[in-house]
Amino acid sequence: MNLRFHLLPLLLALPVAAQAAAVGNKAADCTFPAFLNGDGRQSLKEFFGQPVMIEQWGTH
Amino acid sequence: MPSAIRHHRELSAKGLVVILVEAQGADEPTLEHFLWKTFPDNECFSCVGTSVPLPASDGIPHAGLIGVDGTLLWAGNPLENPKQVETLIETELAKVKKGWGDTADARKVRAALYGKRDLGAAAKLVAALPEGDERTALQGEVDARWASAKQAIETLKQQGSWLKAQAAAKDLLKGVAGHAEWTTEATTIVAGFDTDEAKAELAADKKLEKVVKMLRDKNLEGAPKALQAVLKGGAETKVGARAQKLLKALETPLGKS
Repeated sequence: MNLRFHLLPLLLALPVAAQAAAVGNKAADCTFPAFLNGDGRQSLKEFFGQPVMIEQWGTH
Repeated sequence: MPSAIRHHRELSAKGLVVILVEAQGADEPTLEHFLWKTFPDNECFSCVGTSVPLPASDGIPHAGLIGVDGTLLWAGNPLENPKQVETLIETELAKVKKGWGDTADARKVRAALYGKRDLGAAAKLVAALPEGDERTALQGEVDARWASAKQAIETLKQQGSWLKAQAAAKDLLKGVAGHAEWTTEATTIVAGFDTDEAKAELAADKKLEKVVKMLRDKNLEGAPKALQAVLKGGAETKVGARAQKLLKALETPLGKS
């Protein structure tokens, strides 16, 4: 069995990745899902002019 | 998480934005229930998993700090070198207040636009600049901020956060003083909260805010009944839809979380 055929459906199901930034480079824009505690801004570029800390964390 | 919540509490008024992105596949109701149960004092922007422009990591927590000009300044485990991160944040917050850029004009415009949130003053400063690349770039920033602020009010209304939307509209009107065209438009936006439909949304949101306060006070048990009361009078409103979502979240089992 070709492993590629097993992995393909999984890869297609993944969200399109935002372009990963390297430290020192401009971060690519991205749109966030609806925020809890938001202020109506949903994309990274709308926060231009303010420092933004993004933290990935887990509920498990 | 606690450090992110603390950063938000201490520094959001100075301009820091803290965005929490859940990275273990929780859906929206599970995430909302988990946050209310575990971190009721969390007021960070919080959302379910999504792709973000940070370098890949093999574990969580993983974070990145993006500077005022959109440059990724740091990425890594937020629990390591917290001092380095705090120093970077302080440097960026100083830029919010004083402005940044190669020229005194650019710094002055950005201090007005991002530090004082005075779009009217920023627009006036830009209009007085000589034609050229700098003026074009700064005009673009002022226009983007104006468009974003208007869109944010609409988004908040759609999301059922009418009290926040009304406050944002009033802030916007205050922030465009001195700019005749924007003042006219912002006045219309503020007046839009005086219709019967808007009043019903605002009344429902006042009730919902009381439920949110209950949740912040760790009273999860009493919240569903209070939410039913919100829905009784305003089920058809956008706020009602938000209350329904919250009710569903609180009824969602957390499993092993």
